[in-house]
Amino acid sequence: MIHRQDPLTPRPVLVSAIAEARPDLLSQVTGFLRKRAFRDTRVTLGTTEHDHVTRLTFALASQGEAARLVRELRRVLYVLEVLDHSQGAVVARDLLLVKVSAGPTERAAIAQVCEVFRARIVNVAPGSVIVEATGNDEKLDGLLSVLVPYGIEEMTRTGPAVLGRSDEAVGKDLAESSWRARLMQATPPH
Amino acid sequence: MNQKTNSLRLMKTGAEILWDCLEREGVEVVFGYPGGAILPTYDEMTRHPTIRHVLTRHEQGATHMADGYARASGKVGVVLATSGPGATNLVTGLGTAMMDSSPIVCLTGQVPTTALGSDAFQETDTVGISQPVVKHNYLVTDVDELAFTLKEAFHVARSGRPGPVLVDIPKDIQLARSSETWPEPPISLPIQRGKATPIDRDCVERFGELLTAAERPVILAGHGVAMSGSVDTLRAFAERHDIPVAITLLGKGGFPETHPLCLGMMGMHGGAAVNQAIQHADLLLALGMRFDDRVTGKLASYAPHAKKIHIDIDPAEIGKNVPVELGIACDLREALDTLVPAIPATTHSPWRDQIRAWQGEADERDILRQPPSEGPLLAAEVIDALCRVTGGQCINVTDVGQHQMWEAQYFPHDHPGTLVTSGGMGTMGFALPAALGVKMARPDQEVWAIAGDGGFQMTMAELATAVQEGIAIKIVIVNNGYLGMVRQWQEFFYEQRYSATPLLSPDFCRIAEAYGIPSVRVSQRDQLTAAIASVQAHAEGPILLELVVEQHDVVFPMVPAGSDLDTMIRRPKATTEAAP
Ligand SMILES: Cc1ncc(C[n+]2csc(CCOP(=O)(O)OP(=O)(O)O)c2C)c(N)n1
Repeated sequence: MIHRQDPLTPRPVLVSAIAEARPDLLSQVTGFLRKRAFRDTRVTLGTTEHDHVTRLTFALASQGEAARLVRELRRVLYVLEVLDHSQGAVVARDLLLVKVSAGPTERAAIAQVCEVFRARIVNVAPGSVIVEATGNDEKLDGLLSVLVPYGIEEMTRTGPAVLGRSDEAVGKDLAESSWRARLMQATPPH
Repeated sequence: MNQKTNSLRLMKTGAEILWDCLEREGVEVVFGYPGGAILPTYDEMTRHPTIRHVLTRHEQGATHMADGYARASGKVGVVLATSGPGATNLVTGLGTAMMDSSPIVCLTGQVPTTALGSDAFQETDTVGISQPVVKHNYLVTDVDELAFTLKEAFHVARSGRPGPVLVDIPKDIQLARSSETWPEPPISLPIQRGKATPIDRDCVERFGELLTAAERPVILAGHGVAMSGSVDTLRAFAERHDIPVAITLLGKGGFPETHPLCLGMMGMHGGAAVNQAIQHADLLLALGMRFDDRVTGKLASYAPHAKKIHIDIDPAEIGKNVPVELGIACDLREALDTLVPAIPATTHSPWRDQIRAWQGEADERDILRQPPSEGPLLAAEVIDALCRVTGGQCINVTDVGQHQMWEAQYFPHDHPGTLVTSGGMGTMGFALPAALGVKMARPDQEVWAIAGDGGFQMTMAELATAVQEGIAIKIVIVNNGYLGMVRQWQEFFYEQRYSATPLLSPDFCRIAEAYGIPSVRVSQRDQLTAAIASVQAHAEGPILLELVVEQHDVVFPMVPAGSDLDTMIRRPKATTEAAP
């Protein structure tokens, strides 16, 4: 069985949060999602241009859930900013690594598929290849549906990472209000 | 002596820094319980005699005391506990404070940083366990960050929508030395940035339009009224615009209940006329309240004709349960101060007449209109007697259950802070410890803890705390021999199968005696008033009054959970109640 989006499911609604890079941020965020009963939410954590700031991206099933998430995230203290991407133009990318069973005869065909989807074969073993691809949900779903007939041995697919397309850089002044920055400000090194 | 040890001498230990910070915060009392992982802090306490330490009998008691202290003083309540079981015992109290927005700071000891994660003796993931029930928490892993963390913890607890904060401090951090002391710059949090609703011209205009168009407005006044200091402002608003005021359980005291515009408590055990008014209203002005399910009944049919204006300091509450026409996330007093003067006065006498008719009908069903002359005491009578004898000039701290609702129904509160109760969490065992905290914050006030026989037994160990600390509270046990509120649900909704609700109790007066606390037991109607008066007159230390009441009494009216707000189970009218 492979996990992939039903082609009929609507595209996920994306929300980003810029948060303090607390050591326990991951557990805080998963705890928060459980407490607020967000059951089917994919979340991706990533570092940012600032040491003390982390960027989280949530993929939600509906507009209503996204609005609720935005509201609830805003009362979490370690969250510095919340961005609702349902309107704005964004670049959103998941990372997919998939091990496809392929002997010498199938490799070439898989390589061709990869070219069309702008994916890459990053590992070749006697009976399988590993394909790497990044893209939005639709693209990765499409790639997977073509690879399924060869036999998917293993795969891992991250949630999306998102950036807005405009010139505006949202995180700029946020680093200054992170916990670490506040600490440094209050108690400068001697 | 080399230079390094010399400068180390000048540095302070984490424990010293902790007490310094508490002093800088103006903390006067700490409620706590010692243990291995917090010992360095307890040892240092001996050098800080200005702060009083109250040794409780259970860490849960400490949290409720700090909670009661915070609610009565407006300051932050402080708790000290050890790691492991000490910390896990805090959870109920943290949750209680969280649900009712009460500012407390809990400082817990933790195993040394070197042992973290190793299942060391009395190690528990305190930050993880407490996370869902605190506003914020911290694990301190560097002594240089301790002072800043503590300062921020106090700030977080009391700012915005207040709530509990926990700071977990490993033992080696309490012993390590640092030169970092109280950071002078004021704390500023990201939460303070740009999330409030600006009360601009548009907002004022919209508010004015909705208010002026309304013919059947009702104000819903919550805990936020008293918390934001809006009591006088609200009163002026209601009077100037002639708007009836319904109050939540925690809103009691935010608007005088003897005021002609006060409808009384809304919700599951609210007045029938209050719920009727809400269901027929064409405008609800929700002020510092959060549309809890105990207040709304079935959401889909809640106040179907009403437009809603919601003002609350917590932006996340706006639109959470009930869609609103106008939501204002802002300090209530600031909002009312700006909005109200801008709108011309209004009157609503036909609406008030209509409500008065509903009230008249409800009054006819009131049990106090038909008090029995024989048979067991009724809880409504005893609460009414308490109100008459004290003249309402006291602070009541109630537990959770039927007696809590009877207190809310039969004891009108005219002043803010005169009812302290666990509303959001409904924590049995709250009353006794919370009353001790309240009394410590307001020693000038008469403080009555009112509990059921069930809830009292949950935390009655704190009687010893009352005696040891000489805290002169008055404890009332409304003894109905049942877990009454649950029995009531079983009577109504589980075909009278009384599963696990009949309750054996000890002789409460002999329990009191064992602690050296005087006590009175009353079961006769003709002794009731005199007994309450004698308890009131008792000046030295705590005193206990056991009131033995009717076992099978029921709190009316009642909106069954999940029903329409005006679908109420009502007490039958006197005339139809002839049969026994
Ligand atoms: C800690 C806790 N456990 C269980 C409950 C569920 N509960 C709500 S009211 C109630 C009965 C309370 O009985 P009692 O203290 O005798 O007061 P009464 O209702 O009889 O006035 C119970 C068990 C609760 N609210 N809190």
